Amino acid sequence: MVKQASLLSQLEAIVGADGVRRSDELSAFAVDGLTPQAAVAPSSYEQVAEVLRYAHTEGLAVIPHGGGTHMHIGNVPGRYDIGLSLLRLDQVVEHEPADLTVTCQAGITLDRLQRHLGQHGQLVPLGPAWGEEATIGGILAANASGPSRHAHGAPRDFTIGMKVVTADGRITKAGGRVVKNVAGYDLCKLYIGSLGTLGVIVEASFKLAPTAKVERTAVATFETPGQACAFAADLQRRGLTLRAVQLLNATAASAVELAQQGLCALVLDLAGTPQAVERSRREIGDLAQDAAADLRDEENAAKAWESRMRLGSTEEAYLLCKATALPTHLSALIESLETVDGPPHILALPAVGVLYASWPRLEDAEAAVGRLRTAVTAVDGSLVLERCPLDIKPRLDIFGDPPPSFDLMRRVKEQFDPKGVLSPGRQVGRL
Amino acid sequence: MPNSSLIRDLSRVVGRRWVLHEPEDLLVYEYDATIERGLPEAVVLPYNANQVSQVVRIARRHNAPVTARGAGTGLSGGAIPCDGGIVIVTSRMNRILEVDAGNRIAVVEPGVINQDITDAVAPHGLYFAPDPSSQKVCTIGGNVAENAGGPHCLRYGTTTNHVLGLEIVTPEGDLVWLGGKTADPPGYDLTGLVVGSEGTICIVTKVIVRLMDCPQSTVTLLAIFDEVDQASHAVSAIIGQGIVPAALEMMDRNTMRAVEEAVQAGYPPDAGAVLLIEVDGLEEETREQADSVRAVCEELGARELRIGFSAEDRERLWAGRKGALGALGRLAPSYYILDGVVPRSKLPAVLRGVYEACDSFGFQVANVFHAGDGNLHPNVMFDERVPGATQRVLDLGEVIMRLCVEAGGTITGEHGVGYEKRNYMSWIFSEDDLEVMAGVKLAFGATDLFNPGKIFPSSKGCGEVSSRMKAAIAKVGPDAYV
Amino acid sequence: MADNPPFSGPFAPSDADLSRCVHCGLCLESCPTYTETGLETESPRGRLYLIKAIAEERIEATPTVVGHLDLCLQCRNCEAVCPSGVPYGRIMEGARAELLANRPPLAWRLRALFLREVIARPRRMAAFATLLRLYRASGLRWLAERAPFLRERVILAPTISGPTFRARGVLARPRGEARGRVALLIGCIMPHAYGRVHEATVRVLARNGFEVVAPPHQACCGALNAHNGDRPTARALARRNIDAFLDAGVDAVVVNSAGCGSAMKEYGELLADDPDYAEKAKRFAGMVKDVTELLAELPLEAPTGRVEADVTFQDPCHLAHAQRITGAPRELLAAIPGLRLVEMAQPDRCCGSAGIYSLAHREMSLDLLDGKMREIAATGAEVIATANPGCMAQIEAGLRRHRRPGRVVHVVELLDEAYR
Ligand SMILES: Cc1cc2nc3c(=O)[nH]c(=O)nc-3n(C[C@H](O)[C@H](O)[C@H](O)COP(=O)(O)OP(=O)(O)OC[C@H]3O[C@@H](n4cnc5c(N)ncnc54)[C@H](O)[C@@H]3O)c2cc1C
Ligand code: SF4
Ligand code: SF4
Repeated sequence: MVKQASLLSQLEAIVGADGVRRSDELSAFAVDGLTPQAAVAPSSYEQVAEVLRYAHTEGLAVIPHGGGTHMHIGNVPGRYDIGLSLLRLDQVVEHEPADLTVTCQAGITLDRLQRHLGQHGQLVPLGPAWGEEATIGGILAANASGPSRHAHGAPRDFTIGMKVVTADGRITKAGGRVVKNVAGYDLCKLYIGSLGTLGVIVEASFKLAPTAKVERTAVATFETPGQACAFAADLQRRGLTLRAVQLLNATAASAVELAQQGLCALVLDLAGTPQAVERSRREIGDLAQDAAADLRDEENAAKAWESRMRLGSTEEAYLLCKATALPTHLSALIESLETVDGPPHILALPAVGVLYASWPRLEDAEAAVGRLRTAVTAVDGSLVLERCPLDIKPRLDIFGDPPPSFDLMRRVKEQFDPKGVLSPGRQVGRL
Repeated sequence: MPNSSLIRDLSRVVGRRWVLHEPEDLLVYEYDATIERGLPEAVVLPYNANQVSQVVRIARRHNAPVTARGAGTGLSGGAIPCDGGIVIVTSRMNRILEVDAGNRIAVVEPGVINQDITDAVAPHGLYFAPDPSSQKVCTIGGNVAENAGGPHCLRYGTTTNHVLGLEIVTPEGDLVWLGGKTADPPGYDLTGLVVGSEGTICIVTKVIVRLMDCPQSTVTLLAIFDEVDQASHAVSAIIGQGIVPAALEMMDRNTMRAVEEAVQAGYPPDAGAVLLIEVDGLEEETREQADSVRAVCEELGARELRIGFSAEDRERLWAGRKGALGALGRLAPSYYILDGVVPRSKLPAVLRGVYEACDSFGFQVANVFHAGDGNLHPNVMFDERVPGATQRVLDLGEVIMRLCVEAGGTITGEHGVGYEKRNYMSWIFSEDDLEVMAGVKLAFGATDLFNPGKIFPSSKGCGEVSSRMKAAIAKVGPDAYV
Repeated sequence: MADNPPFSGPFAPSDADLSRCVHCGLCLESCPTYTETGLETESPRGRLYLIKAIAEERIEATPTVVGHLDLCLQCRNCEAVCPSGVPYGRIMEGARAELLANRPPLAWRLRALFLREVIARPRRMAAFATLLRLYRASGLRWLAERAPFLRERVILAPTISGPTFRARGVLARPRGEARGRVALLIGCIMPHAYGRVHEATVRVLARNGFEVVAPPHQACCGALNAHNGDRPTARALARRNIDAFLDAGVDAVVVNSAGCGSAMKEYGELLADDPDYAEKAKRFAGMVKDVTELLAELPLEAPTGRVEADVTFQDPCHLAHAQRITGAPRELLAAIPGLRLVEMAQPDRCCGSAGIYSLAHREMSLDLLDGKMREIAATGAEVIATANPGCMAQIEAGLRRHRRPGRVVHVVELLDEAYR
């Protein structure tokens, strides 16, 4: 083990004095209560590589950081020596509007990237919470997605290339900058959602989407999640220009004032050409009438997603979990989660089959987690405890039982990071 | 030559009828749709995943490499057993096991034909989006292995965007599920890794595919331009308008000439290029978008626009495009189809470069390709009976691939690296990049068991490959350069 | 003759033809024998490759190799879908001819002998037909098709009932405005097995303004001989027909058997190297018309009657693939008042009849037939229309085999009914 003083001087030699964080800044790099010995913010890919080469030689554990908005996701790290901030790598590398692609550095925040693209009438169809702080690299590593995945898919669907620094400090490339590419293995898929355990993403290229000509939001309210899900399924079959469909259970809906007490809300984001949006809105209106659901337009389109942010913020969420199930099982899952020490706030994407549920406080968190797992297993879904009280977290695998392919995952981790340099222990099965 | 104990072991698993080893049986598994050739030692046609797993175990024991094969329509030599060994054919594993219309998924065996999935789910108003031009014959296993695309991948993505989970056989012979029916399974996205891995790390035995709702309305436009340049500028301009069509295809003059002879599509003989543009969605949306597309094309000098709303009219507009590849056979005894990608904005320049290169090599070229994706398919026409022509065509192919790479593109957009392009890999990937990829192979424990000789550059120089190709051609006689 | 290099004879598939196949595989799923077996050796691409390999002496024409070529139905579905225009039918006929000329397997020799010495000779054919007629009339067939061991073996044997069509010379004068004079091919098995179809054909043609003649010196078309590799016999028969029909001074030669029509349309190729006949053969081939083709080109006399029935149409391979005619029969059916056409899935997939294939490859033939019967059953149609005697017999056998009710007819028979 290296002494902290020599560690700092080594790191300073690599990233320069302004690249090394002061000791009073280290708490910002804490992960699940663990604070690193040092933290650096390199200003070039080469510096990132050198930091890793150094850590690799010395057997130090490195955890990459972006805006820090998703650092709660993952198991408690096994070891943690160096925090590696990518915030200084925050440039748009290449954006040719006619190509409808962009390449940017990993440390750029989502909002900044969107602002840049917005000037050209384009956007990257990512939309997770905390966009003003969340960085592209962090979003990819956490495989974070927002409601627009309903229409645009998840990050894996539009990420076309990456530069990644390997655990032993080599700058490597996966994919490319063109929208179609089958040369070699699709390593981007591996890095997305790897939680920083396979490599440090320093650059990414995306397929973009044009911004919609018109956007509108409508909110329908229902007595039960089942009714809301049935309505959503009906809408989807009609091929309307829906960009996002979000379902808030009664607790969540009333917290953000989207529905009266006791009703759940279905938030429908429409986006497209003017007449198509018009027609979709009309059809939704007719359907709502048939379903005897209350429907109104909502000016503040971001409101629903705001609830997702509240759902996940430290103050309000004692336990936050992400659960998945087949869309046809989603309402049953919501209903059974609502019986767990609740009521929880739940935000679901009914067509995708994903939901986020959070509990502001729990009597017995461990027992609750047990009940959640049972509920999810009953519908063949998955459960990830995205935020979890630190007193119980070390005892749990936040991902639950390892999947059937765990052995292959373990072997992949061993190949990519044999010395366990990168975010050790954070992935499923403590990889 | 046949290894009798290997044959015996295999027969015990799949039954004698489904282990082939006579010379004539092996011969017809030495090819796919490319010019590559390689004879297997034995061909097995397993009935289910369990048999595949046992076959893999036997292969391991006998130190015989295993190459999976679907329909053998691959365009990069993927299904050719370069190093001999066992070929596993999936044609008997062709059951659609489950259709869950409510959740828009289906579970199928790898030998299911792409089109059959769509046919099976059509009654539910659903379809399987990836639509390679070979979709009536190619298998989903082959699509997964190559990450196949097609005209409609511009808007809806390629195979990888439509596969949720896979059951695979590992090199140890274990059956393992990757991914699953629900979104975001925890852990690494191994499904995404296996899609496009060209059969080099595992054998796929079941596929969970995502289905899509059939669009309510579809409009097809055909825009005729005097010059290729105008058409390729129109491609960028349409995208620049904020429209991502479902499909955006281009055909140049030579292609049109061939098509005209074959199907009388009514293309003017002096036109330089046509664009075929399809938009789909709600009726209102498609009309609005069709209007914008029309305006863009006219502004960029389209001399004629045809538009189809009904299924029949649209089919008529597509007829030329669909028959194009076949029709090219009329222009020359052989053609060699290339597959490169460039950024859309570089299309005009790269296309000019392609024509110039072909001119300087003295070959005619016909371009028919997925313009919206920047995915070029130059078809070089030649006569293999002319001494040296084949080698010059291969050299020309290399020059064109270089053009794509220099423009910031890649060496394959949908056909795969396979055997043919493995030595171009080092143009776009460094030693380090390739080593990381090799790490994947090691992690799966596949090393040389599955489909050896594919994807990774050989230690030999490119000259080696070319002479191997020449040897292959000499052996089989001059014929296929699809 | 035994040790000639393979494929060096006059019928050898040409290099140019063989090298058109680029192994794209686009024909695979339309090949019935491939989809049944999943084997590349039983696919068009595989067979072409085997033929090429024999020609290049990479493999020998062993019985198993020949077996793969023999299992081909020659339905030519592959040819119809091949984008590269590979002339599959021509290649396969050439290959079979070469194989028959060089150390052929015994079964091939016997088959060729039978086709040449019985089927193609009207008198022997008539005697053979009488035997078959007896087989059915005596109740022997009824017994055999119910005997456990025999059932599978005899079900596809052709059955003969109804009066034989014996008329020759002028068969009918035009009714109404005269449109022209046409000659009818009588054929070998057709007059015995489906004399009623000839009668219907004659009436329908007359109704549409044609004088119909049957030149007395015409012969069997030779299709079966050619398919089975006996090119010399096929060529001899072709010459006879050319003489007989060209002498008759007709505007067209009408054929109501798709297999015969497709063979006759190819006389030009068959005799291309015959200095005396090459030109005549080409001219003759241009005159050949399938009866549905001819009728669909006319402003058809509107039927006065109705045929109230759900009808499904089976495309004969040699109409749909070899002659590329699929619209004409459907147009005729659509012109019949009351008739509802219910399409089956894959109507142009071979029923397994394929000339005498059903006898040579019973298992494959039955597999294909069973598939076809499932598709037919799914339509719920009570009438199955087609346009080729082989298909009619095969589907009739299928109905008996599956104990299903139903009536198998030629398209012109339905039209004929509608004119009554
Ligand atoms: C005329 C024509 C047009 C084409 N158009 C397109 C197009 O538009 N877009 C496109 O993307 N491609 C196209 N292709 C290429 C080809 O059809 C595709 O690559 C297709 O996906 C191959 O499928 P296949 O079943 O024929 O696979 P094969 O050729 O048999 O095999 C291809 C690869 O898949 C592997 N493989 C097969 N099955 C499995 C399995 N179960 N597990 C693991 N590996 C397996 C093989 O080892 C091999 O590496 C075209 C080809 C032709 C001939
Ligand atoms: S016969 Fe035609 S369709 Fe079949 S493989 Fe050859 S070229 Fe392709
Ligand atoms: S003729 Fe028919 S059976 Fe023979 S190869 Fe072609 S499609 Fe197959």
